[in-house]
Amino acid sequence: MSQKLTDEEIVERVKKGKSELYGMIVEKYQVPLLRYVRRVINQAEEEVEDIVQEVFIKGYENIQSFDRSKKFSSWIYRIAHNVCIDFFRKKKPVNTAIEDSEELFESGEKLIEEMAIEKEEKRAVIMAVEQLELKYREVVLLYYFEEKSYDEISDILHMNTSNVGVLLLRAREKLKTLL
Amino acid sequence: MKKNIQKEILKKIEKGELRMKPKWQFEAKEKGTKGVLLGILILAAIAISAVTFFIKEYEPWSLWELGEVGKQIVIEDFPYGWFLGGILLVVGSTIIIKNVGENYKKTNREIWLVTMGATVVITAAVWIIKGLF
Repeated sequence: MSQKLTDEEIVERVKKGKSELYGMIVEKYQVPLLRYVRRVINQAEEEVEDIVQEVFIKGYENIQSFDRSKKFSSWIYRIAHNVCIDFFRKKKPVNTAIEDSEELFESGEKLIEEMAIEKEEKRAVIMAVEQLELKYREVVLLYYFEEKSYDEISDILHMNTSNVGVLLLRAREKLKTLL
Repeated sequence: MKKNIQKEILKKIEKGELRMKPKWQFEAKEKGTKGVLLGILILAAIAISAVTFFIKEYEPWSLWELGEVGKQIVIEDFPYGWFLGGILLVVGSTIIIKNVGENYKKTNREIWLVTMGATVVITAAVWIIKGLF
């Protein structure tokens, strides 16, 4: 039964007291959020996992503020964005070497195609994305790697859709100079 | 992945270490923000009224034409506090409006139009109320 429920319906049930269903939300979003946070903060895995756990804690604490008319995925990514910003404020980030894991290189095909880059150069592209300033990196990660629409990115980063477009355009230009 | 995030979160919920904040807290925060915004806009409208009152009463351009004495009167009596306060209040309300609900989707020009529109409407209301007494 629960498999047919949308995220928004699950959240409504959690809000009404079926707290155990929150596990389904964690299960569904932990992998994409780990991937997203890993690329945004570029830190050791333990740090990434702590941040994602913090995201789910904040998500649960604030779940009553979720508006059902909105998309849950944008709401939880917004929390992830805020927790990452807090992390940067509290701690001066020290970049770690990029691990050569398969997971790190999955997704992002759209960016490779759009920039007309050879597939073998994917590693270089990802390294270049990691070198971008946070505001450009986040928008690139959300659009090309998490495959979010302009509208969803607008809801996650709290900026209007035309600004999302401008940031993406500038990010692509910066990537070209980095490659 | 070393940590079982799902298990840890559910354990915290079961133990009561993790609780959701009540809905009224968010509703109170939202209403509070709107209340503060309205308060700031009313103060901005009062500040604008004070400056326009000065302009209406002193007619600074005619005083200016009187020479040094007239200029001194304008410079000394100008309500600088209200003028600067009014600007700061309008800027403050713009920042609050930008952060209310889905206003982040609006462009800066739209936000400015909303702020200025609200300030003008409230200023007109202040004048109407003032005229009644």
